Amino acid sequence: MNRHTKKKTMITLLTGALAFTVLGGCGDGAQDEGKASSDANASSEVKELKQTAPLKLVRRSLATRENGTDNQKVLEIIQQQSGIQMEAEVIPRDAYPDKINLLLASGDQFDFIEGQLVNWTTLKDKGSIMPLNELIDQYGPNIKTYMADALEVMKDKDGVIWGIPRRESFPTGYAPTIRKDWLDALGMQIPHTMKEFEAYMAAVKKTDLNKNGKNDEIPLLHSWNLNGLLQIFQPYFMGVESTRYLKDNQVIPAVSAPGYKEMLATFRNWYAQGYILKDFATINANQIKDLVLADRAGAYSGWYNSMVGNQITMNETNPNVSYEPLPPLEDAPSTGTAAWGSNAKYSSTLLIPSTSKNAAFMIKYLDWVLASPENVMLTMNGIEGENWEWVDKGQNTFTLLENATERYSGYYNLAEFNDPAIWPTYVPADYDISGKIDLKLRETYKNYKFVEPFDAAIPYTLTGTPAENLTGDGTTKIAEAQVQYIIGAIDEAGWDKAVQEYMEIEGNILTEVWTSQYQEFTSGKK
Amino acid sequence: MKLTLGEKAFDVGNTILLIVLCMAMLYPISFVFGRSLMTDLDRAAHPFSIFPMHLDTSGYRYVFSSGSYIVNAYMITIVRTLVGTLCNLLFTAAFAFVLSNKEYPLRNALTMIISFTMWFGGGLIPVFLLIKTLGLYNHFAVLILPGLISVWNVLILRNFFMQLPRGIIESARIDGANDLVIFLRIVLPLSSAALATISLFYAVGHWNSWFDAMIYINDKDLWPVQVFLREIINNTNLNNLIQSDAVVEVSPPAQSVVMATIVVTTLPILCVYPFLQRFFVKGMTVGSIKG
Repeated sequence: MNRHTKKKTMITLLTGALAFTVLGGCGDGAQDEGKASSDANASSEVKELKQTAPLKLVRRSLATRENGTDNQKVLEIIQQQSGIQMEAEVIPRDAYPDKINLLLASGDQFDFIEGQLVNWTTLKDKGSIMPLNELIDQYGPNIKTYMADALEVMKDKDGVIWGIPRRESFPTGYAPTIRKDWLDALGMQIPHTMKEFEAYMAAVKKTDLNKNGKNDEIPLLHSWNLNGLLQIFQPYFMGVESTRYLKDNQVIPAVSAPGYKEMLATFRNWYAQGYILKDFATINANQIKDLVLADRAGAYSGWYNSMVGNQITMNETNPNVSYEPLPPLEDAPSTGTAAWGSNAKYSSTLLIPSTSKNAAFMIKYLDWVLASPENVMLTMNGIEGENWEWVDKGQNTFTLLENATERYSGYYNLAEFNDPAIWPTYVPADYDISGKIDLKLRETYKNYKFVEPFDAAIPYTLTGTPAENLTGDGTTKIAEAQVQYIIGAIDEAGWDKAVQEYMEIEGNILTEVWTSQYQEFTSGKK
Repeated sequence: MKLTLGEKAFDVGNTILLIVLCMAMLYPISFVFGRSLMTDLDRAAHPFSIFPMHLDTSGYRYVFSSGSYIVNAYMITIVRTLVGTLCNLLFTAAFAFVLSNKEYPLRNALTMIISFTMWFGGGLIPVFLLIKTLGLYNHFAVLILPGLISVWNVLILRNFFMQLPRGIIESARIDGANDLVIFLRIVLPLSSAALATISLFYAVGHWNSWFDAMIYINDKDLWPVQVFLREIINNTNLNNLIQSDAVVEVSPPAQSVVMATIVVTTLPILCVYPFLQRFFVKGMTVGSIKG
C-alpha cells in the first residue's frame, strides 16, 4: 500500500467515523425521547405528593408581564400560600410553537404549555401531552366546580380531558366602531341597516371630514388583512362565523356555503366604490394605526377596543373624536343574522407535557387559584393594597392602583377563567381613561347577540385521516381567489370555478373528515 | 490639463449621481433616526418626513427604562462580541496554522473532516440534544462555544498562512523557535490584516446573532439585544393576531419605540464600520491565492 492509498484510506475511515457519530447521536436522541416519554407516563400515577422540583413554566414573552417589577415578590407570596414552588422560563412569542416542539422532541422535562399558541389535538395525537382526568379527580375539586362545562371543549370523543380551558371575559368582541363625530357632522344617525351603513360610507367618501383639503377619507378600515372583514361580517351574511359551515349535517368549508359569495360580492362593491382601502390585503397594524391617527378612518372593523388608544391620542388635538359601537345590522339576508363576530366562550389555555414530573402539582396549583377570589387576585393582579384594592368585596369588584400593571400583570396566573362567581370584575379608576372607554364599549357590546361557532367544542384532527397529507395548495389558491374577486380581477364565474377547484383539491376531503368527526363526536355526546 | 466640456459635464453628472446615491442610502438611516424622535401624531401626519416637528424621546426612555431588559441585553451582546471574537480568532488562527503546515500528516484528513461540516449538519434536534447534554443549555457559553471555529474562516486563514514565505519560518526554526513561538511571534504579527478581516466577520456575526439565543436560552437575563429587537418589532404586529381579550391587554409598542430600538441596537456596529472599512478591501482578497 503506497502513501497516497494510505492517506485515502485514513480520510475515508475518519469521515466514516464522523458520519457514524452523527447518526449515532440522532439514534440516542430518539431513544432518550422514548425513555423520557415512558417515564412521564409512569409519573402521572402520583402516589405520594412531595414536590422535589419547582414547576417549570415555559411561557411566551409578553413584555408587560415578565418585566413586572413586583413579579418576584408576588411569586414568593404565592409559593408561601399555595405551598407550591415555581420557576418560569421565557420564549420569544413568535417562536413559541416551534420551541415547544423542540423541547418536546428533545424530551425536556417541563410542566406547562400555553394552549392558545399550539394545537392541542395535534400534540395529543403525537402523545406529547398528558391526559388530566385522574389528576383533576384527585386534586382538582375547584376545577370541577367552576370548569365543569368548560372542560367539555378540552375532551376528545372518548371523554379524555387533555387540557385546562380558559373562559373569555367578553366573547362578542369582534365588532365595528364608527366615528360618532363624523356622523354628527354629516347629520346622520347611527346606522342600523346595511343600507344606512353604506350611505354613511358613501358620505364619508365624498366629504372632506378631516378638513385637510384632500379627499383622503377611508370609510372603513379593518384589521388582520381580509380576515378583519370576514370575521366580523360573516354572521350578518351566513349566520355563523367559522371557517366551517354546517349544512344538512355535513361540515363543509365556509367558502362553499350559502351567503359566502354574497358577502364577498358586497366587499367587491365596497372596494369598487373606494369604501375599503386599495391595499387592504397587505396592510399591517402600524399602517392602520398611522391612518387612524392621520384622521382618515370613518369606521374600524376589528377587535372592539382597538381604537381606544388611538382615540385618546387623537383627543389631544381634537377632543370630539369618538369611535362608538356600530350595532348589529338588522337587515341581514335570509342566510344571516343580526350579529357581529364572536370568539368561542371557552378555549384551550393550559396543557401539561407528557414529560412532566410535576403534573399533580400543576393541577393542585390551578385548584388553589380557584379556591378563593383572593387567590385569583393575588395571581392575576398582585398584592392587595399595593397593586389593587376591592371596590365592593361583596360584589366581587376591584380596581387597579395607578401603574399597577407595570409592577405586576398576571404573570403567575396560568389559566384565566372569567367566571364572575369566582373571578373578580374590574372597575376602572378615574386615572384609567382607556379602561373607562373600554368599559363603556363593553356595556354596549355585551347586549349584542352572541353567535358561537357551531363546532367550537369539536376536537378536529387531521392525523391519521385522508386529509393528513394535504399540502395546503387549495387553501392558498382559494385565499388568492378571494382577493382577486374582491378587487375585480376575476368575475363571479371565476370565483365559482375557484371554489369548485378548491373543493376538488382539498375541500371534499376535508368535508369528509370533518363531517365524520363531527358526527362521531356529537353522537357520542348524545 | 484642461478638462474638455464633455469631461466637465461627465464630472458634474457623476457627482450628482453619487450624491443621489448617497442620499438614497442615507435616507433610510435618517428615516429610522428621525422617526425614533417623532410623536405618533407627527408620524401619522407626515408619513415620509425624517425631521420631527415635536421632539419626543419617549421611545428612548422606554428602551432604557428600569423595567426594560435592553441595558442588560446590551451588556450580553457586548461581552459576547468581545469574548466571542477573541476566542474565535484564537482558535481559528491556531487551527489554520496547523493546517497550513504541509508536513503535518493529518492535514488533509482534518481538512476533509471540517469541510464535511460545511455541507452536512446534524439537524436542529440532534444539535439541541448535544447542547443540552454538554450542559450548555441556558448558559452564556452556548453563545460562544458552538460557533467557536468557522470552517470557512479557517480555510481562508489557512490559505493566507500558506502564502507566507516559508524561508521566514524555517529561519526561525533554525534559530530554535518552536511551533508556538513561530505562531505567536512570526505568523500572527505578519497576518494582522487577515486577522482584522476575520475578526470583523466574527464580530459582526456575534453582534447580529439571535437564532442561537432564541433556541438555546430561555432566560431573559441572557438574551442578547437582537432577540429583544426582534421581539419589539414582532410585537408591533400583535394587533394582527388579536383574536380574544387574552392578548388585547398587551399594547404594542409605538413606532417610536421600534425605531429607537433599531437605532440603539445598530448604532454601535455602524460606528465601528468606518474604522475597519479599509480591512474590507484586504478582506476581499485574503486567502484567495491557493497555496
